[in-house]
Amino acid sequence: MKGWLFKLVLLIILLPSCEEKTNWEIVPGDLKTVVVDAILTNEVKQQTVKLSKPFGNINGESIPVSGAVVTVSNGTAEMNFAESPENPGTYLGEEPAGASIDKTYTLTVQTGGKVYSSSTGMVPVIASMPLQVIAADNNLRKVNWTAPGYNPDDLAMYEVRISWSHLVDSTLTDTLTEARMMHYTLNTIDVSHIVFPQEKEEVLFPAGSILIVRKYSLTEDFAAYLRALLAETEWQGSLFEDARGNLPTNISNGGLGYFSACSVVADTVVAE
Amino acid sequence: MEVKRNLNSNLLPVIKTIPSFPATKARRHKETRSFNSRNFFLISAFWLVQHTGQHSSFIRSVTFIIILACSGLSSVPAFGQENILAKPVSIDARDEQLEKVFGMISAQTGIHFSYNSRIIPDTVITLKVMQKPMDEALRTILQPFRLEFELVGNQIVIKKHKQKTVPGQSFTISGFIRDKATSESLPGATVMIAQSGTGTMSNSYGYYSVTLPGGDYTLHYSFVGFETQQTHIRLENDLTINQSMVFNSKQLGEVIVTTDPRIEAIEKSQTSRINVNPKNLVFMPEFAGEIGLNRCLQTLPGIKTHSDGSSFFFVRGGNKDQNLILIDEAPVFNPSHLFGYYSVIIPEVAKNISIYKADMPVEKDSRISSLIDIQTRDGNMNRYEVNGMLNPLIYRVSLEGPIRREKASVYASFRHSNFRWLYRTAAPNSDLYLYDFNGKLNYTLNPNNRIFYSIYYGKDNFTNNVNNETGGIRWTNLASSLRWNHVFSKKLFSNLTLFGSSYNYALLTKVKWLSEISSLNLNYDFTYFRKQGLTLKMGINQSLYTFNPGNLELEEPGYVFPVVSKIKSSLTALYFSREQNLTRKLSYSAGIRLSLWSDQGPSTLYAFDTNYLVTDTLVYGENESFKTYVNPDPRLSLKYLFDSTLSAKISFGIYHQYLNLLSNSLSPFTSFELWLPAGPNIKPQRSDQVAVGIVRYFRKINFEVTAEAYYKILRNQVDYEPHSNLLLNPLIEGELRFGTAKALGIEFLVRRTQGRLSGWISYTISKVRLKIEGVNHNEAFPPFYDRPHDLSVFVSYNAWKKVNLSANWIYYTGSAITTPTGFYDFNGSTVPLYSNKNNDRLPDYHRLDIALTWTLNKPERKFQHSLAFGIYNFYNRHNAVSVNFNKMEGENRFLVPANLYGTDLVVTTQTYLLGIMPSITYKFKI
Repeated sequence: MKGWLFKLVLLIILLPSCEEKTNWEIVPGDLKTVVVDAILTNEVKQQTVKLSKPFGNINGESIPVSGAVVTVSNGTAEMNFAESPENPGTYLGEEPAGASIDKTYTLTVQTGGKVYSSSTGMVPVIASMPLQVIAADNNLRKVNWTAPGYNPDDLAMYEVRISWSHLVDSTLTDTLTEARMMHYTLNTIDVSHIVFPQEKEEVLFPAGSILIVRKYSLTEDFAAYLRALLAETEWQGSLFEDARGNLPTNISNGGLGYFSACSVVADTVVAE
Repeated sequence: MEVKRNLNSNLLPVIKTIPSFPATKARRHKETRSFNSRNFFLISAFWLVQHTGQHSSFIRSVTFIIILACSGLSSVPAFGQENILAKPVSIDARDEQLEKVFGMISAQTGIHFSYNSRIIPDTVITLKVMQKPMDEALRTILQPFRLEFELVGNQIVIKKHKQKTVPGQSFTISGFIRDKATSESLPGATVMIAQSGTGTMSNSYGYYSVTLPGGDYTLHYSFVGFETQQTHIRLENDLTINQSMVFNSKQLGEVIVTTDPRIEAIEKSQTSRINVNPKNLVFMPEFAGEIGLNRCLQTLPGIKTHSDGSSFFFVRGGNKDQNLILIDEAPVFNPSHLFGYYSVIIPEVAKNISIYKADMPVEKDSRISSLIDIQTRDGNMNRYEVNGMLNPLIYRVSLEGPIRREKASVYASFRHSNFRWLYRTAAPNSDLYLYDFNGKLNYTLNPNNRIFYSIYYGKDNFTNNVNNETGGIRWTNLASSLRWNHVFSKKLFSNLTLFGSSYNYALLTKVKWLSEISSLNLNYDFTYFRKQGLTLKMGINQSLYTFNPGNLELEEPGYVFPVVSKIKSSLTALYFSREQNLTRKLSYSAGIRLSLWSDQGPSTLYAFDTNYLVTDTLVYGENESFKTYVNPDPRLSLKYLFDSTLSAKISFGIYHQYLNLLSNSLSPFTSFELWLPAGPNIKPQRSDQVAVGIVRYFRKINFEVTAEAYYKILRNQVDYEPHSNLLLNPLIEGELRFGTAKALGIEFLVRRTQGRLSGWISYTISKVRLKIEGVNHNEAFPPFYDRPHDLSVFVSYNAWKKVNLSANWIYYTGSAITTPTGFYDFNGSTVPLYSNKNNDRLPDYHRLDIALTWTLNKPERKFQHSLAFGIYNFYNRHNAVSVNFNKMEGENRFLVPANLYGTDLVVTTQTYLLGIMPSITYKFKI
C-alpha cells in the first residue's frame, strides 16, 4: 500500500516539484552532551552500551566517550560495563547475561563530572517472520517487508543483516558485501509511517546471501522514540513531514539517545 | 410594480412630447391648462420651438409660454369628465418608459397627456393592468413617482404631487443598487449626497437607506469598477430608488471612476478591509489556467501565502486556521483542490470578495485573524449567458439567466479536471480527479422580499485500485445557504439565513480513516438605518457543530482500533453595532459580539496534569453540556476625513475563535486535517488587535497610498509537543501546547487605478513571535509564517485594443524553519540535533509571473472569447519549501539510505515545488 500511495503522490503532487542539492551552512550548537545508544536484549551475551558525543558535520563521525563508568542494575544485582579496547566508546557487560521481562533495568553513566541515568523495562516478543526475499533486476534479490507498519498489538523493530561476502568472486565487483536494514511496526498511522515516506535506497544482494532476521519487542515509550527517529530520518523532507524537533529521550541530565530492553527472536534465511 | 431607473438615459431630463426648455421655467409650466381645442396650440408650440432651436433658450421659453398662455385663455369647460376617467384601460408594459405608457392609454381612450418632461422620471416600469378604470390605473402608475394628474378638458395634465412638508421633516431614500447588465445586487456600493458631503454604503445585499431633510439633492452612486451615476431628486416624501450601475470594462484593476472627490474620500478611507471586484482580476497572471483566490491574496499587504502550490495563508501573524472563508455566508473549511494547487474560489463565480484583516463586522462569525467574505454571482436576470474556459488541466462551464425576467434567476458553474492524459499510461488503475459545483437561485417575491439559495460542493479524489482494493485520499466540501431578505420598512432591512457546511477528509487503505467537521447555522440579522449617518445592526446567530477528529471506519469486524471521541458543540451569538457620523469628518463604529460556546456529549475526554499525563477519564452522556465559554468581543473604530484626499482610521477589536485546525505538519498541502473545538483542555483562541491606518489619494497622478500599522496579541495559541501524534490518538489533547503570539507590522499599498497602465505595489514589514509553554525551552521563537519583508508588484497594461499584458513579482523573506546544529548516531542511524525552534530561514522567495490576454472578438460581438497565455515563475526560480539533511545521491534522484552499513555520503537537498510553468487557457462567453 505504501508503495503505490507513494507513487501516486509523486505522480500528481510532486510532478512539477524537484529536489536539488544545495549548500547549507550548519552552525554547530552545543555538542557537549552524551549520547546513549543501548538496547539490552534477552539474549545471553555481552550486552553493549555505546556512548558518544554529537558532531557538527552531516557526514561526521560520532565522537566516542571514553573513560566513563557504566553500570546497569536490575534492582537486585548490578553489572559493570567496561570499555572495549577495540571500539572506544563501546562498553561491554563484564559477563554474558540476558535481560528478562520481569525486571526494571537502570543504567548509570558517570562521565565528565556528570551522571546520566535511565530506566527501562521489557515486553515479550511475538515470533513472526517480517520479510520475504524476492527477485529483483539483474538476477539479484531484495527484501520485501511483510510486517505491517501499523499494529498496536505487536510493536516491533526488525533488523536484517545480509551478508554475501562468502559469494565474492571475480563476477562480483561490488566492494560492499553486507547490509543492515531496519523495519518497524508501530502504533501510529500518522504521516510518518503509513503514507508519503521518502523514496528509499533499494538494497540488492545476490542469491545465496545469508539473512539474519531479528525481531525486537518494543515498549510503548521506545516505540515513540523510534517513531520520532523515523520522522527525523526516513521521512524528513516529505511534503507531509511534521515539524522538526529533537527526539525524546529517557536519559536524564540532558543526555541524548535511548536506553531500552527488548525481547528478541531471530531467524536465518538463505536467499534463493 | 417594479420601478427601475433607466440606465441608458442621460441624467438631465429631456422633454419628448413637447420640446425642452430651461429648468428655471418649469414652475411656470405647472400652470399649463389643457382643453379640447389645445392641440392646435401645442402643435404650434412644438413647431415654433423646433424652429427656434438655433436661438437662445430664452426665446424658446418665452415663445412657448406665450402660446400656452393663449391656450389657457381660450379654454372652454370640458364635458363628461367623470365618464372619461372611468374608461377602462388595459396596459401590458414591460420595461417601458412612462411616456410610452401614456401613449398606450391615449391609444385606448383618445385622451392626450400634457406634462413637463422634466418632472417625468427617467425610468422604466413594468406593469400589467386589465380593464381597470383609467383614473385608478393612472394613480397606480404615478404614485411611486410622486406625480398626480388632473383632467383638464380632454387632456390629462401630469404634475408633481404637492405635499406640504414640515420644515425639518426628514424622508428616507432607499433601494437596491444593481449591476445594470445582470441586475445583480452590488454590495459595498457608495451613495453620496452631494449637498451634505456625506454618504452611505449598500449592505451585503446591495440595499441602502439614507434619511435626509426634505429638499433637493444630488445623489452619486459609485462602485469599484463601475461608472458613477448621479441623479437629482426633490425629497418631499420617502423615495425608493433602485439604482443600476454600468461596469466600466475599459478600465483595469481596481478601477474607481468618480467625478466627485468626496466619493473618493468615502471609498478610499477603508483600511483593514480590501474589497476586490472579481471582474478586475481577469488580467492577473494565472497558474495552470486559474487565477484563484490565493493568487490574488498573495499580492495584498499583510497576507502571506504558505508557498507555491498551497492554499494556506496567514494574515497579520495569525495561523492558517484563523482565517474564515465564507461563501454566501456559509463557511468553507478547506478552500483547496488538488492539495492546494487550485483554490475552490475562482473569480468568475464570485460577485464580490471582501477581505477583512481587522475591524471585522460583528454580524459575521469570526476567526481571529481574517475574514474572507465571498458573495457569489446571483445570475443574470436579463438574459441567458454561457461562459467557460478550457486548458490542458481543467475546464469549467457556467450557465446563468433569468427563470422569470426581473424576478428570478439561476447561476450554475461546474468545473472538472481533465488531467487524465497525464497519468493514463503511467497509472492506469488510478482515478484522479477534482470537480466542484456552484449553484445559486434567487427569487424576488416582491420589492420587499427576496430569497436566495446557494450551494457549493467540491470533491477531490486521488485513489488507486489494485486487486479490487481502493486506496488513496478523498475529500469533499459542502457549503449551502438559504437566505431571505426582507425590507420591513425603508429603514429596517433584515436577512434570515439558514446555512450549513461540512468537510470530510478520508484516507483509504484497507480501512478508512475519516475526519469530519460540519455545522448547521441560523442567523437573523437586522440593519436599521435610523437617520442620516446613523446605522444600527443587530442580530442573533445559533450554530451547531459536530466534530470527528479522525477515526477508522472498519469494514471488517474483529479489529479494535483506538477511538477519538466525537464532540458536539453549539454557539449562540448576539451582536449589536452602531455606526455614526459624529461630524462631517468624524465617524465611529462601535459594536459587541457576545458569544456563548458550549460542548455537549456524548463524548469521552481526558484530564491531564501539568506533565500532560492523564489524570482522569471523563465520560459525558447524550446532550450533557460539559464546558461553556462566554466571551464578549467589543469592537471600536474611529475614522476621520481630513479632506477629500486624506483620511485616517483607528480600530480596536477583540475576537474569539472556538475552532482549531490541528496539524503539526509544515506541509504546503492540505493533509490530515483535524478539527477540534474549544473545550476543557483547549481554551478559545483570542486576539486583541489595534490598527491605525491612513489613506491618501493623489488625484493628479491618480495614485492611492495606504499605510497601516497593527499590533496584535494572540492568546491560547496552539502548538505541539515535538513529534506529536495527532492521528487516531484518543489523548490528542495531551499532545497540544499553548502559548501567546505577538505580531506587529506596517503595511503599505500604492495603487494606480486608472489608465492604460494600472496596478499596485504592496509592502509589509512585520514581526511575529510565538511563546509556547514547553516548546523551545519556553523561549519565544518566530513561527514558520514570520516573514519580516514582503513585497508584491502587480502591473497591468493595455498594450493594444485587444491585448492586455500583465505581470506580478513577489518577494518575501524566507520562512523560519528548524535546521540541525549537530548530529548523533543511534543504532546505525544519523539523527539530527536541534538547538532552537525555527533557528534558520529558507532562502528568500521571489517569483515573476507574466500574462498576455488576447481578446479574439470585436467588442460589439455577443460571442466573446479570448486566449490567455501565462508563464508562472518566468525566470524559473527554485523557491525552496524544505531543506533536507537525510538524503544520498542516487541515479537522477535523492534517496533515503536504507543500508545502515552503506558508505554513500549524505548531502543537503532542497525541495521546490514549481519551476517555470507555462499555461494557455481559452475562455468564452455567449
